[in-house]
Amino acid sequence: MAKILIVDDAVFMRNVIRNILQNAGYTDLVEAEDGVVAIEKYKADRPDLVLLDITMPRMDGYQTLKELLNYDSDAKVIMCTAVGQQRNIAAMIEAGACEYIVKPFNASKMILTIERQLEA
Amino acid sequence: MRRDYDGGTIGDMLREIGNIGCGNALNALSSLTDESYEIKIPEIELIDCAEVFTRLDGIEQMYVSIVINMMGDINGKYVLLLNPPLACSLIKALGLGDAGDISDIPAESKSAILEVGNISCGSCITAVSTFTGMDMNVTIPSSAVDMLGSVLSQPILQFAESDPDILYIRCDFSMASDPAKSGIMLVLPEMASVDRLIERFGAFLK
Repeated sequence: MAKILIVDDAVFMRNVIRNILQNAGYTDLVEAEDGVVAIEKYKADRPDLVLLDITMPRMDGYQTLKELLNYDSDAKVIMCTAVGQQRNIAAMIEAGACEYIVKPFNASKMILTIERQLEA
Repeated sequence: MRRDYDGGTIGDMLREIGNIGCGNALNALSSLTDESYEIKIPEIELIDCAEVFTRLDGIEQMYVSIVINMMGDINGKYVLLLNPPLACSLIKALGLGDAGDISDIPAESKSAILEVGNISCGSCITAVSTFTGMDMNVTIPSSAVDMLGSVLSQPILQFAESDPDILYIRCDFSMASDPAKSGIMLVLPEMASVDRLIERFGAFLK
């Protein structure tokens, strides 16, 4: 089973996402509370996929995405946010994100999105 | 006694619900008007309803307000406040031409403004309801054009009739192409609804 890095500054949200992933059989999970920690954990744990929140302290999701892709141009990153205006989505995809999930996410759609990216 | 959830997992949960509600409401507004909006990070805190007036700057400034009551598992109020330039711009974006004097807008433009409130509120509560699995309904919106303090008096003081403690979710936004066109979104659930949310998400709050 793939290793997934969950990046979100809200413990609550990490708990919700972890629960969705565990229910789908993903148990190899790593968590980070901001972009700085996410980059450290990405380098240490080499996850197969990253679920990345956008609004975070210290380093936001957009900057984190750029840093991750600088380090590993093959990194698979799915952005997760409530702000789903077309302009934001286009900016993230242009920056190299694989997908963009707008909260609230439906558990089964989220898993399908993850599986699609893992198989790509 | 007022509860203080700042910094804890319950605070995280309330902030996330606020982000989801406000983010989706603005996504809907963006689709409706084909405009992008700059959004500030929502301010989320448990307060006494009377504090709403002291937290908003420019209480004497003119605003167009749209107020919708939320009912069901989450009770409270959704208030969309548009400054006159933004209100005029939204009316124009909806194909109704220049609104002229915002304090005396034609019935058709007023109806468009109510629809803006309806669609943004609908998107907000649909998102929150989907995320929480809780049942939510809304009343027909009402609108007013007046000073900020006046448009807020009636909806806010209704809270004081029962439990004055509310969850204050405030999201300031402005049109990306013209920051002078701005608005404020207030989502104000009653404390009993906050307690239901805590009960609903108990398993994730450890």
